[in-house]
Amino acid sequence: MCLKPQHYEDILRDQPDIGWFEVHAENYLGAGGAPLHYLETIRERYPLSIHGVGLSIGSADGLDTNHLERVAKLVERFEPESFSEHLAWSTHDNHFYSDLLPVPYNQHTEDLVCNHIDQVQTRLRRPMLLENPANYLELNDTVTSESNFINNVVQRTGCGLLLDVNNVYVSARNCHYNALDYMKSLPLQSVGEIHLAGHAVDDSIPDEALLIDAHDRAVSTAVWKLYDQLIQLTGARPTLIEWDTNIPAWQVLLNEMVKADLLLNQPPARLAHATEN
Amino acid sequence: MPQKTDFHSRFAQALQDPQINTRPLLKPTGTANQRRRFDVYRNNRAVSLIDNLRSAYPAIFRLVGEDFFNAAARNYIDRHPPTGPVMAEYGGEFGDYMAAMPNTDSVPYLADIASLEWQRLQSYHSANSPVLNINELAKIDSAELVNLRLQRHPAFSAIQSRWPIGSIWTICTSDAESATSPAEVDMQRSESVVVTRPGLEVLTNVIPATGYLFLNALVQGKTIGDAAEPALTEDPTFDTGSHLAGLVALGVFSDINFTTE
Repeated sequence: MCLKPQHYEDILRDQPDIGWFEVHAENYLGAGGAPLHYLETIRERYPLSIHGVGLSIGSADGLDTNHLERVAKLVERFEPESFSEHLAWSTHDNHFYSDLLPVPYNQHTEDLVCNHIDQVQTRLRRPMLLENPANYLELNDTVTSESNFINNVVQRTGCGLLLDVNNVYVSARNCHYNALDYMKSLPLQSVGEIHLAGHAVDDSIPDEALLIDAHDRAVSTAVWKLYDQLIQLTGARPTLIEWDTNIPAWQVLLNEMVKADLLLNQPPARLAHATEN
Repeated sequence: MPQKTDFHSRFAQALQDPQINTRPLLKPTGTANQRRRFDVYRNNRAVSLIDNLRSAYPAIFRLVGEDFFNAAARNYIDRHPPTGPVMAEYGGEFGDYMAAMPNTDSVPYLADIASLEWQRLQSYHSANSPVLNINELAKIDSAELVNLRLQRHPAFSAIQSRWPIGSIWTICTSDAESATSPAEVDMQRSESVVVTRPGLEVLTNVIPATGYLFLNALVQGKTIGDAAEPALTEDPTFDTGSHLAGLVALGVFSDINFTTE
C-alpha cells in the first residue's frame, strides 16, 4: 500500500493487516518533523519499500551524487525491503523537470542507464528494481525495443524489475502493441514488485484516445485483467496500488488492496501451472 | 547561444518552449496529433510544479485566486525552475517574485504572507529537538537568570511585518464559516509572528511588538537581562518574566545556552 500523509493517523489507529508500505524517497529527505516521525512509527510495525522519483537514472549528465547520498542515508536509516527507481530521466543541465521523461532506446542510453544503476547499487549496497515507463510517443533516437533494452539492462546490472502493469497497458494502447506479448518478452523471473494504478483517458480526438498515467483513480478493469494474466506467469509478487492525486479515503484504498489480494491468493495450482508455461 | 544537438537537451528545450517543433524528436509513425502526445509531458511538469507551489502557499492561493496564482506560478516556473527533485525545497522566492508582478498593488502584504508560509514549510521539515521547559528556568535564581542566554530551537523563525499578516494568514487558512471576516481586520496594524514546532505541528502565533524586540535580542545571543533593554525603552512597564514564559511556552528555545561569549 502506498503511504500518504492523509492516512498516517488512520493507519496508526487501525493497524490494518497490510503486507508493506511504499513511500517516495523525495518526500522524506527533510531533517525531521512529522513525515519522518510517522515513517519511523509505521516502519516499526510494517516492512517498507522506498521508491525514488528523482534520481534520473536515464540522465545524460551523470547522477546527482548529492541527491544519491541523501537517498542512501534514508535507505540506510529505514532498511526497506526494496529500493526502486524509474527507467526515465527528470534532470538535465541542473534543471529538474518534475516528470518522468522518456529515454530513447539505443546503445548509448543503455550504457548510460547501466552505469547509473551500477552507481546506485554500489552506493546502496543492494540491487535496485527498475520500473518500466508509461509511453505516450515513440522517439526518433530509439533503435531497439523497450523489452530488449530492459532485458539487456537487467542482464548487465543484475537489477530487478518493478513491473508497472498500468504503464504496460497505457503504453500498449498509446503505441499500438499487444500488452500481454510485451510483458511476456520481459525478464519476468526478475520481477521483484508489481505496481497497479488508475489512468486517465483523453478522448478529445475520436478514435484516438490517449491514455495518461495519472494515478488519480481506481485501477481499470483492463489493468486488473492484465495483472491476473501477469501473475499467472510470474506467480505471486508483492503488489502495490498507487494513488497519488485525488487521494481517496483510507477505506477506498483498502478495498483496492483487497481486490489484489483476491487475485494473489488464487488456488496455488493455478499459479504453479501457469509458472511452468 | 550555441545550439545543443543531443537528445536530452533538445527534448528539454521542447518541454520548456511550446513553440519548438517536436517532430524531429519523434518517429514519423504517421500517428497524427503528436503534439498532443508531447503535451502530456509539458502538462505533467506544469501541473506537478503548480500543485507543489499551491500546497506550499495555501494562503497566497486564497488571496489572489486560482487564475492569478496559476498564471504567476507558470511564469515563476519558467524563470526559476527547480534545480533538484526535493519539492519541499522548491519555491522559496515565489512570494517576492509575485509581489514584483504588476497588478499586485491591492495585496501589498503578499510578500510577507508568502515569507510566513515558506517559514512554516521550513519549520515543518526542520530537525527535531527538545524544547526548553519553563521548569528549567524556574529552578534558576532570578539574579542569575538575567545573565543567561538561550539557544534557539531549529524549527523556530519569526517575521515582523507592517501588515497584520498573522490575522490575514489565519483568515485565509481557516475553513470555518465563523472565522473573522477580512473586512474586520485593522489593516493599519503591524504584526510580529512567531513560527515554532514544539512537537509535530507547526504553530503560528502573533506576539506584541515589544515582545518581538525582546525575542529578536534573545535570538541574537544577548543575555535575558540585556535582551529586555530595547523593550523596556519602548515600554517601561514591559514584563520580562511573562514575555519570557510566553516565548518558552511557544517553543522558541531548545535549551539554556551555557557556552560563554
